[in-house]
Amino acid sequence: MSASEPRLPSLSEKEFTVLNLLIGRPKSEKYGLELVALSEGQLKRGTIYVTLSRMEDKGYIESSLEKRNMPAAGTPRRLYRATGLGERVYTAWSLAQKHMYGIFKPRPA
Amino acid sequence: MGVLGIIGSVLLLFETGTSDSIAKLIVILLSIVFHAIMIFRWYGEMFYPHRMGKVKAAEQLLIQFARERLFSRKPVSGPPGALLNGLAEFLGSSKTYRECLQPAIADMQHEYFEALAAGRTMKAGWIRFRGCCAFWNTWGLTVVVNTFKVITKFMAG
Repeated sequence: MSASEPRLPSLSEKEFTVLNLLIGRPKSEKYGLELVALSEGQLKRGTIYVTLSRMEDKGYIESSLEKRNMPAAGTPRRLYRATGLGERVYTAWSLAQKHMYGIFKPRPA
Repeated sequence: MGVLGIIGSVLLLFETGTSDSIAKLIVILLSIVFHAIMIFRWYGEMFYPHRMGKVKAAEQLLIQFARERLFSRKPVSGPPGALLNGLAEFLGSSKTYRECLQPAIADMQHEYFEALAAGRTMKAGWIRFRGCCAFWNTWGLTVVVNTFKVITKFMAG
């Protein structure tokens, strides 16, 4: 691959889990700890925000501060949702995984 | 006190089912401190029995303080993590603060208020502690990642 060619979008295991939670379930906005709770131990509360920040840099997700109807104590939470690029990368990655699994499926003994 | 330390640590680990390694480490360290106090007390009783009155009085004060902090239902004076929020805003870069540190504090505060609204004071305390651990974990990780980025850029020329 030459330097002038565009790089393929990469997706780590954690990023895939995040996109799966944001797209795979009923598509909605979710906040950090909600993703940790839904991931059943795959995502950790100490690393989730760094992962989300990296994904925002890559353009896979976007975020906004929650809107409050009435004044409430504390800082408003940040809600995350998948972007169009994120959805396309997730779909491509899922298909690739499915095909790879078909090719490299362990043979029965 | 040592036995209490062990029971407390085990209960905290199993009750919350936390996977936060730093939180676990701090609980284990607390347990070790409690054991050290127990050994120190046993040593004092053996060799310095005339000084044990003061030690026991100090212990009573400590227990009373812990009881007041844990079981009192005083109104909340301010959201937890306000100090951390100020520190992060002051010391962290605006991007790190906006994308990593502020969401960590906001989620912790929300979880904390939910526990308080349900009347679970002990759980609220634990959430606060775990939230602080997650906050420092996030900040530490951000520093490592940013340093790595700078080194990579430098190496690439």
